[in-house]
Amino acid sequence: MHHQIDAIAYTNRLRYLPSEHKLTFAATLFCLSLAAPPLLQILITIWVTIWVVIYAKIPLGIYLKLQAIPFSFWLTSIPALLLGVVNSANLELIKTDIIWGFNLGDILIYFSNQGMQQAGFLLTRSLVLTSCMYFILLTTPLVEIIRIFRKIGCPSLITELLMLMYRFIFMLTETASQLLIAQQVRIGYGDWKTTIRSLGIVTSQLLQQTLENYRQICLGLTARGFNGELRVWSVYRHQPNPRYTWEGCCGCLLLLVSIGWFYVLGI
Amino acid sequence: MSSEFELLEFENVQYTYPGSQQPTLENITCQFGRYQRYAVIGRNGCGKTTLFRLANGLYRPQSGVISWRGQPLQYKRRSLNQLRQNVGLVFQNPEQQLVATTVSEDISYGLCNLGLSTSEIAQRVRQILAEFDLVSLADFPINYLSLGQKKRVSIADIMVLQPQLLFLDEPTAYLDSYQVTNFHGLLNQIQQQGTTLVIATHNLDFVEAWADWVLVLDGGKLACQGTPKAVFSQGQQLQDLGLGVPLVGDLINWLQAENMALSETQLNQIQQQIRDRYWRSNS
Repeated sequence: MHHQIDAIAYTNRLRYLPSEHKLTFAATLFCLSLAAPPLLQILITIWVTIWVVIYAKIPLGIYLKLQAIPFSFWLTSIPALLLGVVNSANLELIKTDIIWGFNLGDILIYFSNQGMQQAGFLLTRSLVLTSCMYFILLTTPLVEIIRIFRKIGCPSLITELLMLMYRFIFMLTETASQLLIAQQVRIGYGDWKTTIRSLGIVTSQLLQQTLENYRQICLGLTARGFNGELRVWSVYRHQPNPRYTWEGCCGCLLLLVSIGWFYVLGI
Repeated sequence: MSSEFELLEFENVQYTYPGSQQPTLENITCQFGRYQRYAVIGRNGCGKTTLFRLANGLYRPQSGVISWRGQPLQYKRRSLNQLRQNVGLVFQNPEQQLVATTVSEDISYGLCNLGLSTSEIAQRVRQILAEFDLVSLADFPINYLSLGQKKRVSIADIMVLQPQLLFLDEPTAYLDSYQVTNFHGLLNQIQQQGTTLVIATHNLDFVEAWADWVLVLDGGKLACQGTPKAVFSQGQQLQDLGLGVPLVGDLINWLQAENMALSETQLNQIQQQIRDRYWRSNS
C-alpha cells in the first residue's frame, strides 16, 4: 500500500497545487474538525472526499480501502464502548443508560446508551481526522512535505532522517520482495514448517542486507563529498489555482462560522 | 606517457580489507593520463572495485602511494573533497549512490556539498539534465526509475561535478542491450567533454573497440597492461587468467592458425572494420 500511496501522490490532479496551500488547508480542517460537532464532522468528511475523489481524481476504491483502516480500528473498540457490565445490586445507578441487557447470574450485561453516543462521536471524529491526513498523503509527495518542514525551520536532523528513511523504506521492501521471491521459487513456503523457517531466514537476511546497504550508501555519500549535511536543491513548479483557493478559503470560513453558531445555540 | 598528461598515479599500492588475511590489491603500479580511455579487466573478485575506491580516496592504502597530479593524496576532509570533485566514481549498483528523493535533487547533492551558490547549482543541474536527456524526469521520484534510468542519473550525479577523471565500475551490469547501446552513446558524449574515462568491465569486445589502454588484474595483482592490441595478442596468457580474448582477436588468431595468407596491413584493416561496425551498431 505504501508504494501505491506514494505513486498516487505523484500522479494526482492536485499534485502541482502549492504544497503550502494544501498543507495549510488540511491543517485548518484538522483543527476545525476537532472543535466541530459530529454533524459538521460528517460534512467535512464528505467535503474532503470530494476534494480527494473528484478534484484529485483518486479512485474511490483506494480511498475507501484507506478509510477502512481507521474504521476497522473503530470496529475493534466497539464492544468495549457499547457493552457494560454491572452487578444487579447497582442496577438503579445505570437504569437510564441501558438500552437492552441480560442477566448472567448476579451480573447484568447491557448495551449502553452513553457508549453508543461515544462510539458515534469516535467514528465521526476518526473519519474526519484521517480524511484530512489522507488528503495530504494522497495529494502531496513526501519530498514536498519534507521541503515545507525545512522551510518552516524544522531541524535538519529530522528532515534528513525523513529523507533517508523514505529512501530506505523502498530499498527494504525491494530487498524483502526479492528474498521472498527467491524463496518461493525454491518452494520455501510449501507447508507450515518451511514457511516458518523461510520467514526466519528472510528476517535475518533482511537485517544483514539492510546493514550492507547502509554501508554501501555511506560509501556512496562519501564518494559524493558528504560533509555532514544532506543538502539538496529543488525545482519548484507549482501553480496556485484560484478556483480551489477560493473554495478552500470560503469553505473554512463557513465552517468556522457554523462551529461558532453551533456553540452559541449550544448544540 | 609524459608526466604533463598524468592525472592519477598508483605506485606499489597495497590494500587489505580489515579482518582479511590476503591483500585484495598488491603492488599495483599504474598511471591514468588525460584524454585517454582506460579499461580494467579481470575476473570477479580480482580487485577492480577496490582499485576504483582507492582512486576516489574512499579507502586508504596500507602501503604504496597514490598521487593526484604528482602530489600524494592527503587523507584530510578538505583534500578528499577536492579529489572527489576531480575524480568521479560511479558505483556498479546505482541504488547505492542515489540518496535524494527526486532526480534533480539527487543531481544537486554533490554541488550543494561544494558550497556553490543556488543560481550556479540551478544552472548546472539544468544543463546536466539537458545533456543527459533527463529533463522530463527532473521531478520524478528516484524510487520509480528503471535501472537504466537510475544508471543514467548516477552518471549525471558525478558528471555535474565536472570531474577530470571518471571511474565507472561495471557500468553495463544489469542493463539490457538497448540500454547498453544508449550507454555507449553517453560515453562518447562524456569523452567529447574532455573527461578521462576508466571503465571496469567484462565485455572484451567493447574493450577491444573502445579502450586506448587496458589493465588486466588477476588475484589483486596487475597481470599486464598495454594497448588493446598488445594485451589481446597474448591470447594464451589471457586464457590462463580465465578471461578469453575478444572476437576480433579470436578471428585474427584463427586466420593465422589456418595459414591464411594475410598481410599485417590486411589484418589491421579487418580489425578496424570490425571495430567500426561494433561502434556503429552500439552507439
